[in-house]
Amino acid sequence: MRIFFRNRLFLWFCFLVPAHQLFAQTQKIYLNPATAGAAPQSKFVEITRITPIDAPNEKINTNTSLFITSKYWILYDYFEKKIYFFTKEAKFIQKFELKKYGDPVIVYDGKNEILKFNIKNKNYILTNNDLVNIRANADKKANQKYFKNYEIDLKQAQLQLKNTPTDPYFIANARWYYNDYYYRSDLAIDPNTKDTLGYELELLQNNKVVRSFFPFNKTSNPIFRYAAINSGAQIYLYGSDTASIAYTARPFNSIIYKLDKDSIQPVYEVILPAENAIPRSVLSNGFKSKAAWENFQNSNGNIFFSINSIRNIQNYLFLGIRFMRNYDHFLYDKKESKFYKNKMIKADSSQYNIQLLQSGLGQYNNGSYYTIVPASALVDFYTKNKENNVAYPPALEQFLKSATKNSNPVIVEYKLKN
Amino acid sequence: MLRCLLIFLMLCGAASANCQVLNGKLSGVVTDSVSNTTLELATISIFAKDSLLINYQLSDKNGRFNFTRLPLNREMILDISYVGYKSYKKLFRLDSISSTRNVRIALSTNLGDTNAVVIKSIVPIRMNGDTLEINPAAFKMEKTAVAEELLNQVPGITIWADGTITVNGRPVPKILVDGKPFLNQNDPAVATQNLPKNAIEKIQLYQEIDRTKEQRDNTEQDSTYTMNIKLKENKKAGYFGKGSAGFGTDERFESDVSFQVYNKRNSLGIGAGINNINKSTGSIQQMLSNNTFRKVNPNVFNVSNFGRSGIIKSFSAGAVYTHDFVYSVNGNRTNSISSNYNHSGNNNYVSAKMLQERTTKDLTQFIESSNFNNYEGWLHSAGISYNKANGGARNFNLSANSNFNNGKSFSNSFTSVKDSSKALRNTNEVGSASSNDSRSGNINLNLSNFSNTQPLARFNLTAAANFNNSNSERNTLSIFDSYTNPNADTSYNRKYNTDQESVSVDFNLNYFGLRRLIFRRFALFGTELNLLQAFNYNQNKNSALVNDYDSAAQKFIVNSQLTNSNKLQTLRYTPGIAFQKSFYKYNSRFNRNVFLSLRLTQSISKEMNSSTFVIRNVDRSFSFFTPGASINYSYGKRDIFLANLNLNLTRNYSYPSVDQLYTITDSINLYAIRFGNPNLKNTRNDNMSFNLSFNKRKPNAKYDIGGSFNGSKNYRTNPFADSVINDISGKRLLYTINADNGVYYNLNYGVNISRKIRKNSIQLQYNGNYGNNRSSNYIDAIESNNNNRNLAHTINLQYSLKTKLILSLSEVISKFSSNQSGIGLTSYKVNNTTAQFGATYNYSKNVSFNTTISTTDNSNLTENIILWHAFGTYRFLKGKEGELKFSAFDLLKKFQNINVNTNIDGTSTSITNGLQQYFLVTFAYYPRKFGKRGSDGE
Repeated sequence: MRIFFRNRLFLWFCFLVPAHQLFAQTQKIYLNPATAGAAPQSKFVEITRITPIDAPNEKINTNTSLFITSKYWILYDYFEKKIYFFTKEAKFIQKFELKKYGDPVIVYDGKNEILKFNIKNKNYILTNNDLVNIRANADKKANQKYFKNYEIDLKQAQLQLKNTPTDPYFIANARWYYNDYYYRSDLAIDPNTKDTLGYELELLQNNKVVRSFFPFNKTSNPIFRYAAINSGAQIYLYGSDTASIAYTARPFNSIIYKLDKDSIQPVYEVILPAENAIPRSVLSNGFKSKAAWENFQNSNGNIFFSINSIRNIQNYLFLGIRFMRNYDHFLYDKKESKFYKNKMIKADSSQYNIQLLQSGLGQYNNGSYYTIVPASALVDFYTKNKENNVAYPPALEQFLKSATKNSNPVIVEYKLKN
Repeated sequence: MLRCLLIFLMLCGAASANCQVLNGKLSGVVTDSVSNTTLELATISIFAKDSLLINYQLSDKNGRFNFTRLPLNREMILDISYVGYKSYKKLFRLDSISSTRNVRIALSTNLGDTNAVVIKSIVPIRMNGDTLEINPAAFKMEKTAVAEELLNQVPGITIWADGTITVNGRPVPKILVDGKPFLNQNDPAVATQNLPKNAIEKIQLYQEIDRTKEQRDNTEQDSTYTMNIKLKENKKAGYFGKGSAGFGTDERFESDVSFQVYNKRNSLGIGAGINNINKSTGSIQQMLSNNTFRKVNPNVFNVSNFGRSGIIKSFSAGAVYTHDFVYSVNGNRTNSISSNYNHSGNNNYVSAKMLQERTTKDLTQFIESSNFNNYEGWLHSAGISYNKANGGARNFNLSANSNFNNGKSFSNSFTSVKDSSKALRNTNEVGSASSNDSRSGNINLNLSNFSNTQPLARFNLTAAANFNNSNSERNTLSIFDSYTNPNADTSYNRKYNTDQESVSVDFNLNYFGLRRLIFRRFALFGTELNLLQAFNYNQNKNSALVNDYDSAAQKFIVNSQLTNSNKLQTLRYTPGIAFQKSFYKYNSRFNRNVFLSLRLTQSISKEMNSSTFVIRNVDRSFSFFTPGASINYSYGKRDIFLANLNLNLTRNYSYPSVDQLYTITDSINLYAIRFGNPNLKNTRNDNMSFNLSFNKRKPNAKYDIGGSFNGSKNYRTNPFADSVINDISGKRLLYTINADNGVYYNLNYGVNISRKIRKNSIQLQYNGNYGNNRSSNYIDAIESNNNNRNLAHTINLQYSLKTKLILSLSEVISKFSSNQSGIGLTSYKVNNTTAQFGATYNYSKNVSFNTTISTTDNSNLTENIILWHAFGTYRFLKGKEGELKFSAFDLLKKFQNINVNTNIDGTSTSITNGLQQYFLVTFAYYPRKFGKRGSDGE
């Protein structure tokens, strides 16, 4: 009852605060996805190091995720389910096969130098309703069996994959925000739930909700009922240089919010052309069935769905926009007040045609960004430009002399030009 | 075949020689002017100077494009567009000196004003996310062109001779208009051959989950192509149809009417047809499919069917109405009701002469019979169906159908049987008059829920109830004279009054939630558990009153040996359980799926038969274990190929019917007097089948290639067979027996290849079939092991030179042989080759000529059967709505309606009356309106 009362108070607060004050800081930025600009990559990026992966006995695919830790470069191949450890000079150290464990969600805990593997126990099949029930009782011991946790302590000289007690935050589908704060976003609609009030974003501390944002009706929200469950829609926080500051956006909403500890405020509103914006009637009426939602997606591939991958870095705002059937990355240059489409930001020969921003920014570490680039891209460039006396860094040139299109990828380190 | 192929190739060559020189080549790379990097999926179009689209491509991942067979000595425009870049246009010309050109086009970006890009070019095709979009406005075609003609212009899309549409070798099973089957018709031709190009806003091609596999787990890779024709907003209502009438020599006539009107939520189709040219008028659905507007490659095979026996006057009229309760451009969400009514009738007069060689002990019998039959029948059928579907997860279908059928026939036959020395052994003259009247109805319900969010409520339920009531009267006179045993002569004048009533109820439940019910959230190592429940009840009441004419008393008296009442009730319950498990592996380059299924079912039956003949009062119970298993393996390499292998194993049983055990022997048909056998055992059938298919899926490949190899083996233990006794008098007595175990093999293999060269295309379809069955029977108490083989090759070749000339050649080569091991029994062999050649020459936009020639060469016939038809069509009026057609059938006047059949008894050749040479003039009018007048938007 107390929670109910507190939540209602917050709602009243939202209504009482004049809209122009709540959105006073919001800057409108206009994005036309069809005509967002093109530019040479060198305008934004400076390549500082190219390091071929040195693992002659391993075949490493390019469909890998990269984790940068204080001691290692770690590559996770999600098709083969193998995780590789490298020195920061890309020398192979060790690998672990994860096939028998299932599909892990890998989290790097920089504070404790631990790589965590959160895995749904494949011995159980859980429906969305099961997950809702389990998450609501994340601290119940009986619910631990549905998930498994493993970790590798990166501080140890000998890397070992160890089974650890199930992380209640993982059960609760909560992700780390900063310090001991976690966040959770659950947009599932349950017509039978007793508590009709839900929140799109909740902050947790010690497994308890300490702050909630964006209330919605958990029994009847028209847009979430089919769209959220069937599309994996939820809120994600995207970090910044300041630990407590994160940026976020809500599904079906083009406002970018800044979250600082327990306060949230809109900072940008991305205005899209009418042909890309969600019709107001859809927002108010929602979808009558899963089929109606799927049809809407199929018939309106270019309608806006959500903003993701927000990186607000000095003069640039990087963001990914999910449309109903497409996905594109964009870069907003605050100085020029201009959007660029990442696919149109092309590398030239001074950067060996290495496309770095096509899928957004790479992994960040100590002022630099890191991206995995397939060897074939560099080999192509090298073959075509043999006559042009292109200057390569010695390590790269050495690699290219013997590399083939099937060689292991390279890791490119780059900085953003300010 | 070789001769035909040579002619075909010569015609193709001659056709190619007539067209302009197409040796020009233009290749190149599209790059970004700043970074010099290549641009993938740029649209490169080549237009003639008058804006006619000649060809277009999307650049590959390396920004490359390559056009071949471009015209020489002609001004053309190279147009390259890419979103975010300035369009590139350049006039160019290829000639015999420089027929090949390689270019590197650097597109400059719109750095100045990101919001001010104006796309001047109309892009013919483009990728919009994961959807391929075809823009009809970019294709300069005749205003009257229909969707099928447009699709024929798109690289990678093949419309096969049988109507199948493939994209890069992959079939498109679902073709929708605004998200729904057009006019609720299953045949996509109703849409693609009627909808004009200028009514279409765009054609979308995308992949979606294969709903037929939704009940499986772990098959995320299962997807299927869907083509959606999106109509312009102002074209979502309209009408179209056809009315035609034709008159010809020999008092031949035909008339067809079809009319379809639609708007966003309603559609109505009516159709009618009447003719005396042996052309099937068919159901309302067939009439709508056959009377489409298409002009190119007209359906020259939907004409007089000379192969049908007799002269058939047929009539059909019907209507189908569909109402959508919700307007939704969504194929997976429907809420609609559909009703149909059909009234048809035919009058068929057949006179036939049949010659048969029949193997018997020590000698072969030669049977000659002549007969005529006149049948007249009428059918009324009506149906209503309600469909509600929600995203493929929940489906509800309730339908009801009823049929009223009545008919009467008169027949007369005279049969004589001679031995190998041509000595007459017996004759049989039979005259029969009959009438029948039947009423039937059925109600079907299908309810399913495949929702993953409700695992306990996943099921598929079908229930059906069928009712049938019929009565018939038949009067048969049969006079049998035996020249070998005059004591066996018989003469009957017999009347049958038969009343039949049957009721059946079927109920099938497939419950997919068993694992969840028993094991809750436990995954059971990824194994699916399905509960199968089938229940069937059948009741069949039969009452036959049989009277024989007593010439002494000069009245009909009851035949107590045949007059009977019978009531058969069958109750069957089949519980079962199915285990299913999937394994899959995929990455960006390939995907591999293995699907295993094991089905364990027990079929428990109870049969109760009560009859006025005490011996037929039988109560029986059966219980059979009927397991089945299947393995499905698929392996695909992205954009290269997909191979699929399916293996099935099943076991089932059949038990002898009461009629087989205790037959009521009626000796009026003296050549098939059947006796019962109470000692018959059950038959066990063990079946094994496999299907292997291969499809090339390489975008921009020169050839579309697909193939399949299917086989089956059926092993029967204690199969039912006939023991035939050729009585000394000439009568044939048949006893059903359990023969030695039999084995049946069948292999079916085929390959489809197509090549599109600019707007020309060539298609080759080959299908082969080999069948071998080894079974045994008894002829005159001699056990004979039969080894029957049949081999057939079917080849279809089609060549289209733009829309100017379409040539098709098909050849069916079949061989049948039957070897009998019994001493004194004869073996048979028959070879048959049928070749059919079709040609369509569109002389101008309005005039076209078609011809079809078919020849049949049969080893049992001394002369080939040749049938040659020719047609001339003239389209007129503004929108080509008027059509005048002249048809000439059987130009050589050489056609004879001869059929050769072969089975283990021997071979038979029948010659029937049928159509002969005639000429027909037909006028057709195609009323058409799509949206408001002047709303073409072009």
